[in-house]
Amino acid sequence: MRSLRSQRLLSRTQSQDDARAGLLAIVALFLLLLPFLLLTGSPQKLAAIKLQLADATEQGDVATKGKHGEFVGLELRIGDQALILNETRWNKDVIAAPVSKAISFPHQADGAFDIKTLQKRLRALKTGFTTPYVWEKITLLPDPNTTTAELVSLMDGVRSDSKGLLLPEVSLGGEP
Amino acid sequence: MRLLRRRNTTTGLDRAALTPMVDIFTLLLVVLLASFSTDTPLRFSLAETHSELPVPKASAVDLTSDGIYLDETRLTSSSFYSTKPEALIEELYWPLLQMEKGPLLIRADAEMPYVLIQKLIFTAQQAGWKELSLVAESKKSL
Repeated sequence: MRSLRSQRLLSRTQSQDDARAGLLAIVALFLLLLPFLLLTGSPQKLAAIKLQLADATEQGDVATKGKHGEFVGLELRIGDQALILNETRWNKDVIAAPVSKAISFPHQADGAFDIKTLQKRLRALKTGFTTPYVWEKITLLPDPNTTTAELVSLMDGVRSDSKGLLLPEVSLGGEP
Repeated sequence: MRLLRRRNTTTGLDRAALTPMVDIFTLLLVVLLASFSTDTPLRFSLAETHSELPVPKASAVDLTSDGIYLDETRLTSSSFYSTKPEALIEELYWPLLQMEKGPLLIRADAEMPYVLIQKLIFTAQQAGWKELSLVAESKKSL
């Protein structure tokens, strides 16, 4: 009985030694890999945003078809005091002038864009136009003094909200 | 007797210390691989984005407060073009026209005004570049 116990103990000690050797090899590998990664990499991870310019000649390029056959074009102008969403609706089958509606989203007290309220409106529009056609286009018309950071935050804001994709095709407009 | 005692203490200690160490290293490695990039760090701050589209290997135009650069070569002043009414940046147009076309990256300082980006896009399009991307810093950066 005694000899059996000591045999089992011995074999366990041997397997522990094997595991230690394996673990040490992994630690050694990590110790080499981590400084290499820290030296060659950069904490600044970059991402690309595809730029698309609005085609001013064809209104349909920035439009999406609604469930009653009407088209909706969306333009978002960045003003000094507010974001102004211009919704233009028209029916291409009927000879009628397009109907435009401008909704203003005043900037917050610190001058930041009210992106959450804008997203709510865009989400409501998107829900109202559940069609087989893809609802995905919007044109941004920034102010010449709009900074790149503001532009990127707005592009992110109209592309998606917490519920998912909103308008992934964002075009930039305005005269250079 | 001495041998047995030494073996018991070392194996117990090593096993207890090595396993969490490997765990920590594994977690650290995963975090580093997820948040690090192999791109050269830029000398100016980029805008932050939620986009996760990878940045293609391509020619880059840098737009900073001290100038407009094409592939790290300074071409002209940016403050001059932010006030000038001309839409075309001539110093950029000619090199872009002669280069082989493909994707073009625009790396603009976060504080640069839109008017410069717009002129840059216009110039690139006039020179025949179609695939333009704005580079920003991912919010997943460390």
